[in-house]
Amino acid sequence: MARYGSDNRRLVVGLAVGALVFSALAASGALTTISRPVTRAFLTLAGPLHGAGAAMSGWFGRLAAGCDPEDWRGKYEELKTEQAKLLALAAENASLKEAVAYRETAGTNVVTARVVNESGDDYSRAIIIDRGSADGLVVGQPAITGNGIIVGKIIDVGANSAVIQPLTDSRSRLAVTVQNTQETIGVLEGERGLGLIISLIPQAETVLEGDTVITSGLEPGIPRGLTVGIVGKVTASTQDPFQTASIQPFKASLHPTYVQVVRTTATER
Amino acid sequence: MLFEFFIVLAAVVLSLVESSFLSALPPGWNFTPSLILIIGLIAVFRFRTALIAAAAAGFVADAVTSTFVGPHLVSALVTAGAGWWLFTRVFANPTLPSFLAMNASVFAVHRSLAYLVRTAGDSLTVGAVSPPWPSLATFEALLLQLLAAAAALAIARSARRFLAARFIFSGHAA
Repeated sequence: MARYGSDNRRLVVGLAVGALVFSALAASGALTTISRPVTRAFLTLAGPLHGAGAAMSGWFGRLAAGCDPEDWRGKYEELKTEQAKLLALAAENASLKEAVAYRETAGTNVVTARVVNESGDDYSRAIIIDRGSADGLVVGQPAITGNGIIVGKIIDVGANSAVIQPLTDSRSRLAVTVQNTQETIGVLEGERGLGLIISLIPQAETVLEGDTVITSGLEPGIPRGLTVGIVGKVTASTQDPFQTASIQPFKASLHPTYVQVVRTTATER
Repeated sequence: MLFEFFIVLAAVVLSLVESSFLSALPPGWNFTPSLILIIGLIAVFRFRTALIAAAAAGFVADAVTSTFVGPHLVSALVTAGAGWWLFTRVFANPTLPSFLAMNASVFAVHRSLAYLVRTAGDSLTVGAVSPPWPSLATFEALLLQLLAAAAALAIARSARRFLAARFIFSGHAA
């Protein structure tokens, strides 16, 4: 047993010394001619094995990611938030671009204001903007969006804020013209915050579905030609001397993010 | 001699799998099957063969993973020496728990040496700092190592039983 242990000790020492000498020679580059082909041979064998391992590792990674639904839910929510932010920014950008374009065509007589709040219920709505009398806003001025689509009229003004009554508000009234052959004029009324109607149109006037409705310019402070909407359904009765047209407002005018208030001069008012 | 040849061949294959396939897997899968072979040889009193197998495995690991031959070879030989010391002084009782305990101890020695080698290599070459040791992945790998060791032992015992049965049967037939 002692002999056996002694032999082993000798072997251990021999191998350790041999390994150190071998390592030193290899590190100095003396064994390059021998080690290079050997290394290359082993690397040739190791390459496909490493590739298989890497592929399996990727599979494990995907499996681990796929196993945790909370991870996917978190990522989904994150992406949805990002998407919402991007959509809001895109809408804001488009709105501002349109406002700039309108300002260029209408001159400098408009004030761009940001919508800070929309309040009220379906029957009575109000849009609050961040500009007021300090910017030259007065009651009765029209607020428009995009390329001249009227949103409503100012009904109250503070120093740095103003309240706009949307056209769809039940108390709203606006003098309009239908762009038909007879240039039918009428009064546009809000319908419980949902839609718009023009009532009291004489039976003799021909109002067709799809006609565009614009402001008539007959109302003080409201210039002619601001777009209101499109004629939807026309209701006429043989016993009634007047017909009623429902008007579909433009989508852009319903929940604007930016509006422009057309500042009218004292004479215009 | 033929036995030694097959053992060296097995050590080379296991080391190749370990250094290329298992090293590409997540850290928790980096167990060392070549160590199981070395410990198995020590456990059946074949220390010389274990040393030769360790040298072969270390050499292959160096050839595949290092730019120069040395660190893995030396650490494999030192690990085999540590395994022999543990077998003669601590885990002399040849039972499954002692075999597994020896595997765990030698695995820890091997990992410590590998960590030292890697840290030294990092500081000499790129100046990088190695991740802390032991990590959770080390324990995962240790668990796999023990499972593999138990499986290897079971396979070895089944093979011995099968061969013994065949030998007895052919003896009766003769």
